[in-house]
Amino acid sequence: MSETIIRTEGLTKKYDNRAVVDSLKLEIKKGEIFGLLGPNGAGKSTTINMLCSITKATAGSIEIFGVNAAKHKRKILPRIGYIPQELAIHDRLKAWENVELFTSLYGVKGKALKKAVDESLEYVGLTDSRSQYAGNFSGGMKRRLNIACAIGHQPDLLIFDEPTVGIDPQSRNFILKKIKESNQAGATVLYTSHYMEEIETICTRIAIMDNGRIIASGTKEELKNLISDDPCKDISLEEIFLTLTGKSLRDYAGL
Amino acid sequence: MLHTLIKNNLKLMLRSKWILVLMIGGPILIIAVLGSVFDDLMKSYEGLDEFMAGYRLEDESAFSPYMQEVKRAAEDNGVTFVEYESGDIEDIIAKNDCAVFIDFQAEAYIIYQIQEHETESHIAEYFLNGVSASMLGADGADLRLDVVQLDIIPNIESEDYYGIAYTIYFIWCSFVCLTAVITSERKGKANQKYKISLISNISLYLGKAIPCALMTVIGVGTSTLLSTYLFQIKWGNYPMTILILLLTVLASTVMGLFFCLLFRSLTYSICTSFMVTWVAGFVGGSFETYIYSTIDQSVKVLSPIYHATRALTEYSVQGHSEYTRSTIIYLTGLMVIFALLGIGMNKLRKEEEA
Amino acid sequence: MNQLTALLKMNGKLLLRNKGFWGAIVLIPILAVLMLNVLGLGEEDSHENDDKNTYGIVKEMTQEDRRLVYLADGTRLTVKVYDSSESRLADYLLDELADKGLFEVFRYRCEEMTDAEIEKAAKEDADGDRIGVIVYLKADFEISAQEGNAEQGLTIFRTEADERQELFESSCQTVLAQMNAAAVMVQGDRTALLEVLEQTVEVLPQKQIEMLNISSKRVLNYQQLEYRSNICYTFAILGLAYSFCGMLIAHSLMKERENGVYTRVSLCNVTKIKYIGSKLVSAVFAVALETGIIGIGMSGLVKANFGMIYRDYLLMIFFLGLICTMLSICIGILAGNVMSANYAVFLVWMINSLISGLYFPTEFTGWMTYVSRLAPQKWFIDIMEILLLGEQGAYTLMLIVTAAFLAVIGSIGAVGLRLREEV
Repeated sequence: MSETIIRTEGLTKKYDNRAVVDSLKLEIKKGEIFGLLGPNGAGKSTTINMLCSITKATAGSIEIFGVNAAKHKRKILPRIGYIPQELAIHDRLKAWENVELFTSLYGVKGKALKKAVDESLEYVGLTDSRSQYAGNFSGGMKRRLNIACAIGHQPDLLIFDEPTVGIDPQSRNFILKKIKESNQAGATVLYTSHYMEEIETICTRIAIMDNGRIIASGTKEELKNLISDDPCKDISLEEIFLTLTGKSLRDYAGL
Repeated sequence: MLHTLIKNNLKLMLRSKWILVLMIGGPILIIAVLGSVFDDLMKSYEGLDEFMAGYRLEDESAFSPYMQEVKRAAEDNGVTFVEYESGDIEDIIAKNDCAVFIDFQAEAYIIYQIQEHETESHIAEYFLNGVSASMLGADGADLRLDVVQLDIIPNIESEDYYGIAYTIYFIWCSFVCLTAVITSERKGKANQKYKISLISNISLYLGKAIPCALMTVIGVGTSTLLSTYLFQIKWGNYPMTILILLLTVLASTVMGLFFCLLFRSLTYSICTSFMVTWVAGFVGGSFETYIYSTIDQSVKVLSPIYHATRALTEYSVQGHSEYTRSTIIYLTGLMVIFALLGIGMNKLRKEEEA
Repeated sequence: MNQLTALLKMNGKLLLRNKGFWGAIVLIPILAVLMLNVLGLGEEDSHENDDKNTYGIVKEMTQEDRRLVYLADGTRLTVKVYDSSESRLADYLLDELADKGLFEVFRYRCEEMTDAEIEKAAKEDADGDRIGVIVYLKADFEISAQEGNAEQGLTIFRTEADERQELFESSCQTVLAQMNAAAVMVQGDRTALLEVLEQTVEVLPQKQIEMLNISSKRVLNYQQLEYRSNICYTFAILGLAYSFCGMLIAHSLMKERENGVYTRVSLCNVTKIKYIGSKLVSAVFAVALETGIIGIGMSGLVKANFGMIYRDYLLMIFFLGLICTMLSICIGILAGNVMSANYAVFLVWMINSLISGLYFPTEFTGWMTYVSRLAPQKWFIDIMEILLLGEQGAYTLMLIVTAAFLAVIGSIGAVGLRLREEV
């Protein structure tokens, strides 16, 4: 049986008595590309923040790599590569300086550091632009640099929080291809996005989240079966999503 | 369109708490501090209260035969002589509230002074000099001296001066209200929306300048009214004072707006504007009074703050000023020049973003 | 490389690539140097050896002299004398007046002036200075004195109303009456007249003045007060430069929190202490760099003379700069956004400079004394006075004051950061 990389039980986060994540039960196996899908304000980013110990949970437990994440944070974090939705890079540092900084903070040094920087930049296709200031990059290049900064220390778990927002199709394709390559190399991936086609393309398992809870999870086929008895009918993930979450607007101000 | 822009920008400015604190609280605090610090330097001499002088008298002293008359005469002039035949002089002064101690010896007399009561020491010294002179029998009361009373600008009290100086100085600092609007515009990329709207370049410019001027009038006006009430500041010629203050508001607004438009970074704009204001204030009498400043006059006249401060100070003490015309011309000139530069810069920035 | 080194490297690069940083550490000190040139720092002062506490002596003024309001001690009536007589009888008159104790006499030797010229000069003095009485000794004063009409050889100009003016005029009448009486006795013989007047003085009991220092206040002489004033100006201007430098570091901190870099850094197992520590260490290096540039500028461009070893001056501004920079960082953390932080830093700098007495000596009483002690500049003025007087304890006080302020600022910053995170 495949090892469980992430397991949550009753994971809850409340803001002003309003549960943004509500008794979440999540299980991600090793080697999966797990897609977390949900409308705006469903609790996806909050869930990720709790998994990465950026935010403290109100209740519940998180186990990552088989250990309690809250108690063994320092042991777990070096094995995680987090790619945030916002571009967490320094505009005034060059591309290679950004990668070197964040890789070295994981304790990589000397020749290994140099090699890691070179490999990361090559991985995201920024070798030729390594000496340019990040502030001068296009949106797509910044997104790729954002990824390069998270993979230099060769993490076992990659967490992507909407990594393709606002970039061109070519850059998006490239990123998705690289995610698959990382997965084939052994990394487990947790991926959140609004773009259905991305989730459909790369994720092996999908969870649909709404109002802080997972309302459905499984492979695409398993999700299709939830809404249709006809196995031959071709139903898109978007249809599945809208059927399960409804079509009304979600307005969550102040989060 | 312009009306809506002015209204919205004014709301943005009024919602910035720090700006209001700076504009209302700042002048009051500084006037209180500086008024207190410079009080002694600037106030007219008011005379002294009565004080005590300790003394020791040797029998051979020239003052010995006259000591009782000396004491009576001193008493009439507010100085009480008290004898201490023995004891350490420093102890006597420290323990007995004596402002000064005189040791009348055989051939001389020694006046022991302490720094805290220098003025009292001088009075005592003058008095004893007079006693010595009277021993010579000299009396010049009949001599007619050629005395001319100069017609000079009356002295101004420190609280009045700093009340005026800091009203002007804080008007020049009030460009900071623009930052609330400019930060919001840049963050929300409002300029791109303005570009495709029907609003003209001048309207966009006035849409910032007018609220800033209004905000300055509200903020500094409130603090001026409060400080006038609290410190009893005398302004003198009210119509001209209000005119000069209004011109200062307009000149400072357009100058501040120019610097905000000149630099892409608001930090540079703020730093430059504050530095220009600080230097103009330093030269123009916002810290050390222009009256006693040793900065060359040719440098002082370059500062608009100097002209305005001097004009309003002279209104306060004598109701009129020779600096009225130069103040009005200088402020109007600054207003026109920086307004034109600012409108030009606004147009340039708009086209750059195209 | 270890985490702290990596962070320091990052902070160093970010600071050195920031134009605002170079503006703060280069432009503002240059402005300071230029302004100090305007103030005449380092120029020879004709009053270098004057002691403000000298009594009974007529002080000579030169054309370059500044306002009497700063040369005078403020406790006596200031008298400015335009002397075009160049005579020993004029010397006698002025010495006698200065000896009265209530008047501080400043003499400016000048050419003969017409009535209009002297009145114009007197009016300019009266409007632009704090002078109680202006006296013009005419070129023919000596002749008038020899003829027994000394009072015809001078004109007295009254300025603002001051009851001591009458005492001055009364003293003038007394001395002039003595001179007239002596002139009658010697029948106008100038040499004999002077001898008689000098003998008159010798007959009277001799006066001596002794200044006691029974309080713990430090007493600086005139030259030291000049040095003090100049150093205070440098504290004021450079304090602004250091504060802006701290603002830039705080700005980077805020920006990193906003754009997610701080989150990423913390996910690299970097503790908050290390992260903040790296910012503070960067601040120390920035302060050291700025102090170095100031040192080169001051010694190279202005050739300033501060009345103390240059190393001591640089030490003072280094430690004061450290406090100003850390205070700005703390304010930045508490304010939370750049604009509010900018205003707050500027306001704090302005108030501190004022209440500590950088622009002018402040002698507060009551609760204001304690409030003024909250300004670090106030303590450094004390340290400066100790150094100027050559007393012991300056270095110890400097270290203790710096440590104390940094501890308080650090604590407030830490609490502020914790509260901000909880919110």
